[in-house]
Amino acid sequence: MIAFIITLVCISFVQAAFLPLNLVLIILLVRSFITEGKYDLWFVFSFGLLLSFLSGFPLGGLSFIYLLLQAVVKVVKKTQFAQHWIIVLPLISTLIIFDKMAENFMFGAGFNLRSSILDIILILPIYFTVRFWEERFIPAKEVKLKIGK
Amino acid sequence: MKQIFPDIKLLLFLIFISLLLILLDSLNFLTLPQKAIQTVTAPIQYGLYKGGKTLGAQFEFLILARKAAQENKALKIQLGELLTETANLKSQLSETQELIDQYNKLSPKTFDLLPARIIGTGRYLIIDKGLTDKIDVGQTVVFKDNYIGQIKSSDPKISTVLLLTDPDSRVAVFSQGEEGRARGILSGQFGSDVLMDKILHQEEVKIGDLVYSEGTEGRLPKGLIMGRVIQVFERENEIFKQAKVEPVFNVEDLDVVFVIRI
Repeated sequence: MIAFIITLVCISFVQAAFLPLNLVLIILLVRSFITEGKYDLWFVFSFGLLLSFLSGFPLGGLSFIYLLLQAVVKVVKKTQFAQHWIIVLPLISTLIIFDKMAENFMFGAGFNLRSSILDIILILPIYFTVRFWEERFIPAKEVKLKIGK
Repeated sequence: MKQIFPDIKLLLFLIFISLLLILLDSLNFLTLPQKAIQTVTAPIQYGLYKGGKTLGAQFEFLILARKAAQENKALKIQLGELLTETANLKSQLSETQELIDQYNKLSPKTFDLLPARIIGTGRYLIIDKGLTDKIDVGQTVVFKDNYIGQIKSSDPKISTVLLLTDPDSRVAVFSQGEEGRARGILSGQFGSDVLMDKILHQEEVKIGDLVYSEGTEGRLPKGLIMGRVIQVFERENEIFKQAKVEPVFNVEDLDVVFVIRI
């Protein structure tokens, strides 16, 4: 978990410094789609806050958007058609476009189509990387069998 | 609802906090803590920004270098094409000039001249005109008013020319000098020499005299220049004199010759 947080912090700095991509948001949304962690909301809030601070947006602005987007992911995830992994591509693509539009509307940030396309291209590689990470390096919960009396 | 959002309270709380932060930030209540944190984050961000810029410049350089290499390649091809085009134009200009010179020497009203490119030299000269251009065996090949040879064989597209220097070549000629004229038979020798033979002793031939065709071979016009006398062989006890003749033009220096279609 600590490695994941450190990685996200580093990516946040890089993203705010020179990388015109939305990697942090994609990673957070993909992780929310894959796992059911109890700290998901805190992650989204914290990294939204960090990115707001580093990018010069009003504090809490990105947290607010990210929380709403994650809520959408959680809703879609519960539906029947979200069982297949491929749904992650249209879902997160739509949310990234929505995020760009919200940033544009709320903070007057420019809408860069090229970086949005790059974001969409990166969704699947990030999905498989996070899934690999979660399956191999994050210990699963211990299975406890209930033995009847 | 609880099933979809197990932490609905936390979600609402965090949304509320976010909105509160936006409000406080817009009222500049968070400026001081922001400045405090920026003293730590700003140098990191600056370092990353500079590093990113340097990295970007390196990538840009690679892209530019690749583009420059492609442009260089394209320009080299273009240069090659231009050089070829220039060479072709020069060749065409030279041929046109030769054609004009030729028509100045032998009037096209009198002679039906067909320009032909030389495509090979050896014992025989090979030209790029043949039967389809109405080239026939025995026709005379000239350059300006100089005799080059006679058509030896003709295929549909190419023809071979029997040169003046060929051992099989025999042409009736006369030499014309200041002291008089001499008749003889011009025959090729092995090599590049041509020998004018059967010159009577009483006829005058001197070094430097020009040798002309007699025009007795039928298709060979009279008065074509065959060469220049460079040596005279004269012996008392022999009936005929001989003279060594040098052709005016070296065939290998020519690009175009003309066939007289009679």
